[in-house]
Amino acid sequence: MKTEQQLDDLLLQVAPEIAPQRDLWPEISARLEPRRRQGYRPWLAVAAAVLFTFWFWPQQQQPVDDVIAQVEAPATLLAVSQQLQQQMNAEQTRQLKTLTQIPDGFADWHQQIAIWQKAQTQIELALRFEPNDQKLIQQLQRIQQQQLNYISKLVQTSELT
Amino acid sequence: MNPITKHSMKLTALMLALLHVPAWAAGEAIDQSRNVSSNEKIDIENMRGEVRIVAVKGNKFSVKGTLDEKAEGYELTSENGVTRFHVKMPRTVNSGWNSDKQEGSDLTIEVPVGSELKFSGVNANVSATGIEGGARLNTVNGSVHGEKLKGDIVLETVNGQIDSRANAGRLQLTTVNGEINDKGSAGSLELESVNGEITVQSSAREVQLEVVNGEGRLDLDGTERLEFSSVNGEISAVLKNSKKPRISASSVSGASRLTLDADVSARFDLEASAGGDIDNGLTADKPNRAKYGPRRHLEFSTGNGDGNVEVSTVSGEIELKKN
Repeated sequence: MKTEQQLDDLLLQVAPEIAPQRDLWPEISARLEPRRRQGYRPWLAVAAAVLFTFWFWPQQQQPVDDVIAQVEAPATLLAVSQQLQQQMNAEQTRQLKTLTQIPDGFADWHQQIAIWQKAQTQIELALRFEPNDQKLIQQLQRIQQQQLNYISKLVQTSELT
Repeated sequence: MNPITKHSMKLTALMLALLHVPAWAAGEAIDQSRNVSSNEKIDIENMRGEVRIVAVKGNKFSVKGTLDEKAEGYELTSENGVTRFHVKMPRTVNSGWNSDKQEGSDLTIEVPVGSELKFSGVNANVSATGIEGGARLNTVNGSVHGEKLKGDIVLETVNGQIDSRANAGRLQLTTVNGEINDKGSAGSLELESVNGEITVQSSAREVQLEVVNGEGRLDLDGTERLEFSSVNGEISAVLKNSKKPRISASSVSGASRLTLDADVSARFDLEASAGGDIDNGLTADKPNRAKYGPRRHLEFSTGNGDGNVEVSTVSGEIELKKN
């Protein structure tokens, strides 16, 4: 068995470089050329994308905005409306709990509130078709304010009579 | 029994009687007056009954009539330009006030023409005439009548009729279930009702009306600015001598009907958002229907397009006619 020293001596006898027996470059070059050609493609793609973008930008921007508006605006407005309605219902419940009796002229208050809620549903439906219609939004706010005023008047009248 | 003893007994009996019968017994008469300033602020509170307030020449406040049979007296003070007249009621009868609406005070009150009036009642009918410093009349179950009033005017009730005659200034007429009738008003007019009907014959420059289920009939002369809205109700407005009006109207499922001068000069923008109808009887223009969705829309102009008319509905009706 060779000792460690003998192995080191053998390694020193081996040549540090070995020259290839034939010219390998043509084969290597042949394999590298296709890779070089592929290297240009991202630049072409970027250029095409830039051209494409500038070419279609004016036409594409408006529809995209519209789509965003149609998808997001109604959802936002309706969400705000529903949130307001929830707050209003909570406020109505809070105020109505303080009543000991329903005063004259307000016996059908449930029906009255139902009329406003039906109207609100109609406006929300219209908002799905015309999400940016300011008049509809104002109508919605007015109806919610009317409900609050009505309940407030009901409670106030109950306290007076 | 000697005469002295007999006299003492009579006196004792009289004193006992006075002790048991309060000074403000049922229907107790009142006749009081105070000297006040020409522009006195008058504050009157009377929960039940009939109250008539009349403006008179001279700087005097007076109250005559009978007090509420359940009143516990009254408070009448006059100092620093403010006169207060309050009929005091026991708190415990509050719940029974609706049981008999015939009860209550019956009062006639005179105030200076230039005074500023505030009246509060509950089951009370009130009328005020000729006051020029402004008037605020407020009741709950009762009618309100204001005539020849000037300044800032508020007439308000919950269940009752409001009757406004020849008032001028900034008028605000509000009810929940009652009717409103206004005739001959001038200045600016604001009307509001939930269920009641509103009838107006006015030359007010600015008119604003809001109903929920109620109906409105407006007959306007020379009105420059008109704004009205309804939820289910129907509002019809006829405008005369309004060549370039500014009108804004809206409804949810109610109808908005406008009748304008044939030579009106305005730009029109009419819109029915979801199933509503537009009937244009003013010009030959017809509404367009949206390519997608139920919206109908009509824009056109008459004359030089000086005024502006915007009417919208969700599923109701819009109608334009000419005088």
